[in-house]
Amino acid sequence: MMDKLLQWLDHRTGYKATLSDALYENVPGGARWRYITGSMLVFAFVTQAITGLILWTAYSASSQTAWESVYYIQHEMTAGWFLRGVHHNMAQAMIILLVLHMLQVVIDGAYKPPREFNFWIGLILMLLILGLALTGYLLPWDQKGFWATSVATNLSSLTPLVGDQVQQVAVGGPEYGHHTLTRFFALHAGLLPALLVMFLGIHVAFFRRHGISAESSPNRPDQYFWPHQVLKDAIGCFVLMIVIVGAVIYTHGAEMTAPADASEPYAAARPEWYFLFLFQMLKMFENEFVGAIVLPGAVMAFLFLMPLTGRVKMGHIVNVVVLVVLMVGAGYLTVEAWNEDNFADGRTKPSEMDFGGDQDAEDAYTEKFEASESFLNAQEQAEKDYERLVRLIERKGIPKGGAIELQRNDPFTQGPKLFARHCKSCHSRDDGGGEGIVANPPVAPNLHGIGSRDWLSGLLDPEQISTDRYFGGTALMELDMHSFVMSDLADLDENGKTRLEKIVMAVSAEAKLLSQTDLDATAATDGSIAAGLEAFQVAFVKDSSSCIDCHKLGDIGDLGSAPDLTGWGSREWLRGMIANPNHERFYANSDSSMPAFAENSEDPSRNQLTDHELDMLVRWLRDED
Amino acid sequence: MTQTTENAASSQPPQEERRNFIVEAAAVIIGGIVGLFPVVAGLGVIFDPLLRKKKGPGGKEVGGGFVRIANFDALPADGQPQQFPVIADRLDAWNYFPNERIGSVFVRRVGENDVQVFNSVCPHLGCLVSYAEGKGNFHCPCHNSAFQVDGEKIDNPAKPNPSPRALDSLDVDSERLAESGEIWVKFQNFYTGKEDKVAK
Repeated sequence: MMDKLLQWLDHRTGYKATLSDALYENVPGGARWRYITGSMLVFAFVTQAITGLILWTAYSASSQTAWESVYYIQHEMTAGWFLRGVHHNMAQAMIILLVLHMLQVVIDGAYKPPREFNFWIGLILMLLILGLALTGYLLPWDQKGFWATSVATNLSSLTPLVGDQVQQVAVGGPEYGHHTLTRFFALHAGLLPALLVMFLGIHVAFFRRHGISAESSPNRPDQYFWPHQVLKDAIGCFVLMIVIVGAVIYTHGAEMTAPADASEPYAAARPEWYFLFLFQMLKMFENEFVGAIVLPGAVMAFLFLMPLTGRVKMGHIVNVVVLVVLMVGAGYLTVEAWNEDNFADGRTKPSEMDFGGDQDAEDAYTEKFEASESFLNAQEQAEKDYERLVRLIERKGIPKGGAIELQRNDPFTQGPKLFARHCKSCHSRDDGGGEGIVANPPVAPNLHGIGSRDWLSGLLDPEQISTDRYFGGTALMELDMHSFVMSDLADLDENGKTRLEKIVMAVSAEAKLLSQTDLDATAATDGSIAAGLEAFQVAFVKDSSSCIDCHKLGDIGDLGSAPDLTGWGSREWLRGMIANPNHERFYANSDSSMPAFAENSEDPSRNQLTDHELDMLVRWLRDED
Repeated sequence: MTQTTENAASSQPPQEERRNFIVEAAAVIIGGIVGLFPVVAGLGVIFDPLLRKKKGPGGKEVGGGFVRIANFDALPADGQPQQFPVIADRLDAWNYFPNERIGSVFVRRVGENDVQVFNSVCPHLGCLVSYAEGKGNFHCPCHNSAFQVDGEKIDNPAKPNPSPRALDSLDVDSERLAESGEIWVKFQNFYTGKEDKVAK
């Protein structure tokens, strides 16, 4: 019965002949492990096609949604990280397999006549796969992919005559944007895979036409493809699968960095490792035309000519040797690129090294060290930014404008940048232990912990006020405040110390620091603040001044001679101080040397800091998360 | 493997026909037109980036105008460059973003009352350069291009500088600078990798 049914099916479809054609292909010299790379590549490609299609069901190509949709796959969707990890890792594996496959074909001489065409088709397949790798890197629209890919598309403008036009058509306009993603996605998920399938079909058909190039020998009898070679292929694919799964679990999927931002430099922009040798080559030439076009072009031309030059024995030997040399060269450049980037890792700082007076050696070391340091710092910063953003998203969700909106409005991300841009030329903000931003040299107080009891008691300490944490090296040394601290607060008795402590508590409570909420509440209930306010109005040294003689605090005292301490260190006070330090509330009567950053209330566009920037800066200064 | 040719002769060609050039040519031409039709239908969209003028809402042109960067007072007196973001309107395909960060520039004092402004984009391949205060030069983190504080290329025989030109300086509205001390800059991006500055 079954036989009859199958016969009927065969009569209509001819499946038996097709199947036996496929399975009973003769393998001269029998099955070998070295033939498995082709099947593994097919397995890898099918994996990419299927995982890619599934990723597509969750991906949205636009500059406001690409990163967000990938984030959602990675962090929210069930096993999304795994799917993404498989696609990412399999892409890397494909590159390695591609190289092995090509080496096997060339070393075995399988590219020689009559198989020239199949070798050329193979090279086209290689270019298509590299194209898929390049276009895929951009799709998550993160800083890493954005900057690496923009270098690659900028290279396309080197094309003679129509370079600018080529670049614009590739990028979808003069700058990166929505259309870069839509175009890259159409290439990555549409055109390139379609061409790949087409050429793969031809590749396999040509392969079947000419068969395996090996020759039969008495020691190794021929075998059919089924089952011996099929088993070897299957084992190869199985091992690949295990390796991929292991890598995915080990790395927890694929990496992601903060969303792409054209105005935000990313000093760790590097292509994927398999393009690193090209990247490294660009550093070696004065003119990137050589490194980016001439050399790779020459290599491709050499590869395309190999089947022709390989006809004679000498030509074949040259081909194998050159190919191996190219591989070693590319490997060397890759390692060198990696070494240069990681040079500073685990090495001594140049300032702590002894070069024995050898200036050239010192300069060379310093330059290498600093370049690598900036790379490693950028990498670390990118990780921090990303982790921060993940926390923000968990807390607030992704707004309509995309995740970049969260990042641009986040005091903890923007505060340090604003500080570095506007404040760092005078102020430091570091904890003294190497954490934070350090001015070189500081000519204004260190703002780390501004508003806190610790900061204030340091200011009122004769041993500290002249250090560069406070007034040291600044114009503030001339202030009466400095001489007051140096004389009146110099030799306090126990009573004086207690009074000073209460004053610190009372004034610091004005700041309403979130980190001091509990301390402030206790101080209010146990009467410390009231005692502090009282002490504020009494001189420490007989017939000398008290705080109130210069400073206003709430309802007591008058404005004018020194900064108003009402709300000292609070959000509002800091905003006012930064906006205009020469306002009568602050340093109206003494030169603070500090510029006003937002004094135009009528026309805010003239201010150096926008209202929003000011807000972020102040929140960050106050450590408000 | 030997070639299988068993099914090659299964169908007899029709009776020898007089070759008809016109029929063949017509088949090729019409077939060709039909085959090309879908691609031709899409040519406009493919090459749209080359034909598009950057027009924002109300037909106003986006980009290329003078943008306020900072006040002269904000610059360090010693001529050290300071980096500022460039805030202007941006058009990205279907989206219009008013007042967005569209790039950044380095501004430095030159003499008593003039400034020099550079686009932060490296002319080599478009990464963003940074300024090293200690060394007093600009450095690109991608392929080691380096520039002096005045934007000129640093030529060091020991270490190739892949940049084809100096940092891209930008035009400053000198009248406004003299009148109000405000720095207005004509913000432009340029094609990278070329010896000449070509505005995008």
